[in-house]
Amino acid sequence: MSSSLNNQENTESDIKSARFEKRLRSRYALALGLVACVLFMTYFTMTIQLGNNEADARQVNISGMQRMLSQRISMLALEIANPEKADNPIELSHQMQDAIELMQSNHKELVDYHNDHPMSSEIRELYYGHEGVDKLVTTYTDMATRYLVTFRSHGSEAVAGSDKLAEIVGMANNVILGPLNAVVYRYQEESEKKVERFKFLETMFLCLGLITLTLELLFIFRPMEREIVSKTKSLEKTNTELIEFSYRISHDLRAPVVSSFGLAETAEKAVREGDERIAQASLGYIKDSMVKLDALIDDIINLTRMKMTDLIFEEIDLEKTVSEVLEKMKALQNYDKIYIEVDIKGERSLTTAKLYFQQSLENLVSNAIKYADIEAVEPKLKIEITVEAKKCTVAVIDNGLGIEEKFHPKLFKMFERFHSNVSFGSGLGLYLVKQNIGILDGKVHYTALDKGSEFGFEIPVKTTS
Amino acid sequence: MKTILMVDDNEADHFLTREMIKLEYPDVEVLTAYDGEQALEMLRGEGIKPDLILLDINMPRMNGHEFLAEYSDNNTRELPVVIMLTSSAQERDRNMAMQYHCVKGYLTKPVMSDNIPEIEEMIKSK
Repeated sequence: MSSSLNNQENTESDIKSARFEKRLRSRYALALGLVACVLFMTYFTMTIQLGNNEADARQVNISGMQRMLSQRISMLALEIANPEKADNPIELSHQMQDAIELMQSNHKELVDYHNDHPMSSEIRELYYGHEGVDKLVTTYTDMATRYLVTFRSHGSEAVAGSDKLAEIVGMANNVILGPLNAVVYRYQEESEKKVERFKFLETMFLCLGLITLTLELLFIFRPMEREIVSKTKSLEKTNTELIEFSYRISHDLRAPVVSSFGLAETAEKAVREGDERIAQASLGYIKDSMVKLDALIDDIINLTRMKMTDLIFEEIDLEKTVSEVLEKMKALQNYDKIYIEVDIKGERSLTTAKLYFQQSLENLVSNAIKYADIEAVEPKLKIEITVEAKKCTVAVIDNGLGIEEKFHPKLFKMFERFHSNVSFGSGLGLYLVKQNIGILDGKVHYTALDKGSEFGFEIPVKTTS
Repeated sequence: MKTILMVDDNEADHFLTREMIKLEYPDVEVLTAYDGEQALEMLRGEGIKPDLILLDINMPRMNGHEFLAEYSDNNTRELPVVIMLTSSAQERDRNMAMQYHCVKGYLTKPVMSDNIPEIEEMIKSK
């Protein structure tokens, strides 16, 4: 039974990159969306508020004009009644007519405005209360109209000194001016309050904008920055590793080849001179060099395969896997001299990426065999696998040569070797284990024992689907 | 008798160098160490005062560069001459090694007969 958790067309890194890109895009979209919302809210509120303020300014303006018109009508009425001072009373009567009509149309505009918009109780009282402006303006303009009718019918003499003229002048000076003034001041007062409210709203929106930006900084941009920095560091690390890898590989691949050149020359010379011992020894060393080269190439292939292969999860039989690993180890020099114990606890099978799991186990077991202390009373190796509900722990325990404490921080790094003249290692084995286990979302461990080492790893258990 | 200390983790290179030197200079003794640490232990011990050190770069435990750093720090007098003998032709390795006063040459492997006069010159100049 096997299941593939990967997308056939995308490698794991492609999927991760796509997810990262999607996360970045959605965070940017969220940040820009929030800023856009605040901007739209500000724009609409300010537009409505400005419209209101404009209307209020017009009310103040018209009310002021009404006050002026009331006085102009009274003044023209006086001039019309005094032909000695007025050069052209007919023209003046037209001007008075215009002023009356303007005052009436202004009054209508104000009343219509009041009908369509809410007004304060003070304005209502001033306009529509007892002896309010509404009634006074209508009375005043009616009075002035009647005055003009009399003038046009009977001339200046008919209105001069008349009661009608006295009423208009009296009303203009003593009755209507006060309420019209009060309306202008009230409108001004209310308009100023609205301007204050407008300023307050402006400040509120500024604060809202700043709060939005701060929240975006804290909860969108900082996490995004952290993620990008972490990605960049990881890429820089990978790049450094690649540079180091290519530098070391160029050297390590060349080393056995150049040795073999020299050895071949020595062998050739020895054959010419009939020195069989040297010729044999040279050929033996050439063979050793080729074996090392082959092992190094194997490690490079494994490492490259790991970087390029998709994760294929399948259910593996642990006993069978360990047997396969040990079978491969039989070719190693010390294999027959080591007592090997296998202990599998819990489930006997595991769903994992077999290639990664087996390769990691092989590397740990081959290290334990290669660096066994053959001089010890009983060289031992124990493979312990524990499968629990959520994790699988693998430990390879030996009583071998161990590793000096000062080298522990370098254990899983690339091209690090810790033993001289014992066995050849490329220095890539433990690095490969760490990479493999990292891909399986697990972690590697090392414990120095009184005699020997314990290397191992822990991986999460996946369920088959 | 002149003595050369060869510091290299590769058994084949020990054999090859020893045979080449033995052939040209039968009276030169070649001692071997498998890494920088072992070489330092030998140099710190009594009785071993090589006329020349042939030093590889990539070795387990302590590589050639680490050896040079340690060696230069702890030995201020009568330092044996060091010739780098490595399969690395990298400029980075050459520059790092040649910055040490005691390093007088940089040879790339394998040691061929035509490299030997350089080694002889080093021993004589001592």
